[in-house]
Amino acid sequence: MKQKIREGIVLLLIVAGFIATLVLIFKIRRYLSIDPDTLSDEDLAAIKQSIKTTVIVSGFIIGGLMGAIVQRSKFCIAAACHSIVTIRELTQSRAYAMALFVAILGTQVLYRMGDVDITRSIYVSSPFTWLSYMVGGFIFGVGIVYAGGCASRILVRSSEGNLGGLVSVLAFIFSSGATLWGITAHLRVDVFNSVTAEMQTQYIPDILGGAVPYYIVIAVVEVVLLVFMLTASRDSEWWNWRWPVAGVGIGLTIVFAWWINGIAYKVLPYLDSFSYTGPDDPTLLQFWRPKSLTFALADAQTFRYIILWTGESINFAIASVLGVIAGALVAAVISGSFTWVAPPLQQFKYNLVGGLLMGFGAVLALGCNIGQGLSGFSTLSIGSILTMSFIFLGAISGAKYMNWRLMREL
Amino acid sequence: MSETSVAQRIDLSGQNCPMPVLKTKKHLDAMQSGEVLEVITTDPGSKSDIPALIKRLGSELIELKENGGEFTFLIKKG
Repeated sequence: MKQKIREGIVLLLIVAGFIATLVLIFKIRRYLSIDPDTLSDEDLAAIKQSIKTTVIVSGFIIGGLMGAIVQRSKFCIAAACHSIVTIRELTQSRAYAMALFVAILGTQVLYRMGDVDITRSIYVSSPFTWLSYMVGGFIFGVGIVYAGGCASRILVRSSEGNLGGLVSVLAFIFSSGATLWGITAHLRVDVFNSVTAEMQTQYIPDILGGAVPYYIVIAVVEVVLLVFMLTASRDSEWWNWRWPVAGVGIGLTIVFAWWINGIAYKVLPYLDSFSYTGPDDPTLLQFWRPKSLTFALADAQTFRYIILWTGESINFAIASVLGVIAGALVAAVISGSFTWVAPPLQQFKYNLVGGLLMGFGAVLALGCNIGQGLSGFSTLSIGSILTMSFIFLGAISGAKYMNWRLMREL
Repeated sequence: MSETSVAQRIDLSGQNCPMPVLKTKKHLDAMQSGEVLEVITTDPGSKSDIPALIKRLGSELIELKENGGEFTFLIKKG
């Protein structure tokens, strides 16, 4: 009984977090009804500072929501992929499908409403570096099987006291940082990213050039996901309310993250046309480009922020990583599931290798399973869908190989 | 009912998914029908993954004990 109360408290905190985020989104959105000409310079400076703070605070809350939901539900895209091989079970895959269903619906509605310009996001506006997406996705996919968790799961696992998870996170930070700024960045830029295909946009309805209306494209994708969820056998664990609810929760964190960032990107040039010439303004794009949750860059950025401090400033991505850690820790402590666990030697090696592969793959592919697999996928970008397909292939191959190796040992 | 005699015991503490599932399967495959395997894990995911594996293999989960983040499974090979 006591356990039920503990879990109830976590659930209440999660609901409160979502409401708080909505309040913050509408706080920024309200600035659109101000006439910018009536603002004094001091007013404008204060509003700009308030927008910045609001976005960072909501990054922390949204990250916290994801951390808590993943901690309580054990939602894991790595498990979604490899449980197909290991136990022939699709419950985790269906939870991912639910997250995707909600994320696509919400994000596309926000785009059509004009609140979030997803066409400016990296997923849609980057060159179509198909080789990077395929190779990076595959390597990342193998990595998540060996690390035993996707990019969000390893952060959550560390916060639960699992030292193997912590090894994966540190290895992930090390190799993603090296691929962003260091020794392997050269390989990424000069070898992989130089292979591109001529393409104006990665947004699938635009690629189809109006031959198929956008709402038909969205409807087709959503119906496929829905059919997949509804065809679970009657005795499947999927029908336990926890899995669909976890999927909806994860999907909503993606939508809310798009919303707060998208609305800030819209409000700033509206209020301050002196600093920002319009949506194409380079400074605006550098700092305020529409984005959602991702851990490919964010983990390494967070580490850099902590160790350098001087000259670095906190942003949405860093706040969201800190939020995931805090949210998972709070959920684990309240629900009584925090325990220190040390990995045996073989697991330690797997955690290390997995984390290294994940870091390189995620940066090469421009995102992890959250960045490309949910945030990117929700924009209906062709590159994100290609990347996710290769993450899936990599995870399946990794699980088969690991299985083969384990069966031969001993 | 007489007390179950455990034929094999494996301790998979500290190992993350999918290792506990793969190793449980490996040990079950090598056992005789009717024998009992005891598996200890700490991975929260194994709480649902191992029962799913057992069901698929046609074996029987006799008992699942949870104690301070440690899970103990008693599995009778089918």
